[in-house]
Amino acid sequence: MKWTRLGVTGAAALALAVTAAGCSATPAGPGGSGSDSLTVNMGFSGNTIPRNFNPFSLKASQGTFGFQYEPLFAFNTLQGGKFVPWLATKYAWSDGGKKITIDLDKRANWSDGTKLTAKDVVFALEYVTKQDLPVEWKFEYEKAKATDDHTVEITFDTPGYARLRSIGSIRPVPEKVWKGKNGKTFTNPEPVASGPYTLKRYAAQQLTFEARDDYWKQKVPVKTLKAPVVASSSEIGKLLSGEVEWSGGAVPDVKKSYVDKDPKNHHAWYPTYGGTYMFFNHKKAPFKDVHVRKGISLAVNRSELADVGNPGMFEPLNLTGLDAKTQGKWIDAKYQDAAQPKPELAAAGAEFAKAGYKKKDGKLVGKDGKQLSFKILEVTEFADAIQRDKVLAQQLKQAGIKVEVEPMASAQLDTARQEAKFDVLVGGAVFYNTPYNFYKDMLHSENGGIWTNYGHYKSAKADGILKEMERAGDDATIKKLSAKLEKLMIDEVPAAPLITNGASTQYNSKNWTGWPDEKNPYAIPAPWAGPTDMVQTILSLRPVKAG
Amino acid sequence: MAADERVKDRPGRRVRLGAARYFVQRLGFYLAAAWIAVTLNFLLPRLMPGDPASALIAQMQGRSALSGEQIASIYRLFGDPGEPLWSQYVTYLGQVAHLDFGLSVAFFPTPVWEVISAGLPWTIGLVGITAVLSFVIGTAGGIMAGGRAGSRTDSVATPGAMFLNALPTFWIALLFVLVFGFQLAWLPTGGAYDGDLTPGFSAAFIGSVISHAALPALTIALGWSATWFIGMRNMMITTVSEDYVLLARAKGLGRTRVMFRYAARNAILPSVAGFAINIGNVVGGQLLVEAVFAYPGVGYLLYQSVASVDYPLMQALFLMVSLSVLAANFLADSVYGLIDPRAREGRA
Repeated sequence: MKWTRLGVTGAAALALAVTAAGCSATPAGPGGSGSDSLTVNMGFSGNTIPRNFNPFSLKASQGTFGFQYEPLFAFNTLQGGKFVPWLATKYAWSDGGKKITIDLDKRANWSDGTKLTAKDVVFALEYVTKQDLPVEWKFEYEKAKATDDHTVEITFDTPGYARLRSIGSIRPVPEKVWKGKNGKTFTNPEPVASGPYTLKRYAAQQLTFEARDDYWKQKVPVKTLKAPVVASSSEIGKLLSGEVEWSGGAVPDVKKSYVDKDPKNHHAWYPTYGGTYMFFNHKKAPFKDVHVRKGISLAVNRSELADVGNPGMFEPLNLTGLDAKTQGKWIDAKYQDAAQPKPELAAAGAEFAKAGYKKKDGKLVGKDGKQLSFKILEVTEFADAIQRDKVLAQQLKQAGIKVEVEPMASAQLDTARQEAKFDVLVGGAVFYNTPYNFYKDMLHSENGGIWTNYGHYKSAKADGILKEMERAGDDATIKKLSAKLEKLMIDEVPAAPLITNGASTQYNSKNWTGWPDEKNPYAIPAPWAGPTDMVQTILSLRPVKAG
Repeated sequence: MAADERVKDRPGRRVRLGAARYFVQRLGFYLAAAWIAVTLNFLLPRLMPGDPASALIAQMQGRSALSGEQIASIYRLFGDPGEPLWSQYVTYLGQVAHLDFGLSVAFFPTPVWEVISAGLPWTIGLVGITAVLSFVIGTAGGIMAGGRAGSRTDSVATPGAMFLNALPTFWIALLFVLVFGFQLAWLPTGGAYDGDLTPGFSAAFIGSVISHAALPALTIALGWSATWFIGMRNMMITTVSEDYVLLARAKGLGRTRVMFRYAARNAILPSVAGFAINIGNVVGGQLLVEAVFAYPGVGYLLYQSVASVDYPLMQALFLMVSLSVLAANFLADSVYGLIDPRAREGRA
């Protein structure tokens, strides 16, 4: 009796002590972002932030790009690839596309106060090439040289137009810091960079950035930027309390769970930066048959798919694969409205009939008497994607097709995809400054299984058009060639475009205003978006005056 | 032999020599088990489909595009999966011997040892302390309840413990985040300390560490105490009705003494073994709890290493788990050998 009471009391006392200690030590509380600081959820993967600010590292911590290291220039995907000058003010092609001359902004400087020069740009380019670093902007060139402090010239042996995006992404580093360092293993703990922020404090739980007083481009409105680790389980809670004011996580049913709770200040905008596609395995029957692919595409209810998980945030995708709203300037006039939001079962049936399938007792049966059936592979952890695939399976059931969704480990799925051992996959592809890179990813035969040519599509015609496009330096020619690929997408359905894919972004306008939105899409606002996108967003904010 | 003569001279040595032989035997067994663990630890990740480079490429999917050339350089960076297995095994054994686990892929280019040593203190601090505390609390509670089965305390505590034991840990964790973290806003819901503070021995920092550990610790403690409680209570009930306990009671010994020296001492044996096995949980962290509370311990590292096919990190962590479980079992076995002569004699 005596013991029992003591035990229970002890446990209760312990719990109380812990709770009390917790209470007294809890900081001032959420919501109080002062007038000059902002907390952002950059979506660090995992529970610890590595101290790795090497801009050539694949595993560089978020904030290395943009806040610290800056690119030469970029393109706004939301405006069909509009030029965004940054460290460079302009570029010019000459010699039939074999030479590009880049003018640097004369104001650009490093965080140690020294000037950023053309030599630093050439140094970064040569550094990446010599050390064979796996940066996504590496490209082949003949020679790069600094003709003066603010001018860089790069030459190629074939026209380099298609490399423009990579050229713009060159992220110069100060030569004096990087000379002699191994770009693969150096973690650059105390970065010297050109961006608007310097690292004020590193903790495995939070990066704290401080605005530079001498930032070359403009005055930086947000003085302190805190980027803590936020577990996905507490993301929505922190957004609602105002503790996190800017976040790039995908919140399920974000309109209802975030925006509607405070429509004046809570905003969610998932602007289209790519699309979701159904990839057929072109090495396998019956998907080799264009009529089967067309039939399946016609049986899809894209409006319904768009509303699975996050109603109101996505839309059915244009059948050319490009999004009409953001990529409209590249889409041929004929296909501007090429969407098919609702299933067209009669048309689907006609296509299936051409492939030898007939509907029997609600089942689509082939010449061999077997029902058309296939599996969609999906990554086990992607619960939302599995849900979407199941809806897709239900829709295709209406057309008499038996579809199963098979979740598997991502590594296993990669192997299946690379070896073309699957029926159908659903996956995303992204847009760039011109449709060239998008279509090359998806349709070029040398990308079979690796990049977004998941279906191992092989077409001499597509390869030919892409080759021509690679050498095209002006928008008019690119658009003309793109139209041919758009026709191919619609006639052959190498992959079936489903819905738009958005850069999930939540932001709070209680303390800071000037965020990009549908009316003023100056940047993709996700804090994980490209370096110029996220930095443009943070540089455009203005404090909301109190009262 | 001299030893034998001395044994003849002094019979008391016999027991100790028997014990020594028992320990040598056990040690041999555990060394063999450790070698098997080390080898399995090498083989298992490699039997998994995929490789670090393709896992990384898949991770980057949808954010930016990679050309074939860039993909090739990623493969070069993260090693050649085509290297023969035996030569990988030799390299691996050499690394294990030197406790050098190479560079982590998930946190490239940070050395594995650095990644682990950043996470280990948090996990040992949180899960280790909680594990010991909940073992003590749960076991003590189980002794009370089981020693007086049917009492009012027992009839309240036992169904309560069963209920807690049945609740999934992550569910308790989410409930705590919701109630204490957001609705009442008493305690922080993520991280190990407030990121605005500089780590050090200041009151603010220590307070922050405790407040951040409070919810995950309570989550783990609830479930574990309940488990120990139930196990201990049931063993107590069996033991209390044994003849020697009845005899002790009949001799008129004090209740506390009977309960602890006679009943609990025997009833606790399975719990000791169970605790040894649970040491693995400490090193592995409570993965879901660490994930829900964004706690920077090794449990979540383990998950990340598997997700990104990070062989070096995965192996170092698995190795730590298996070796510490073996070491703990060896200790438990040894303790058994000392407490319970039957264990020794069964072997000798």
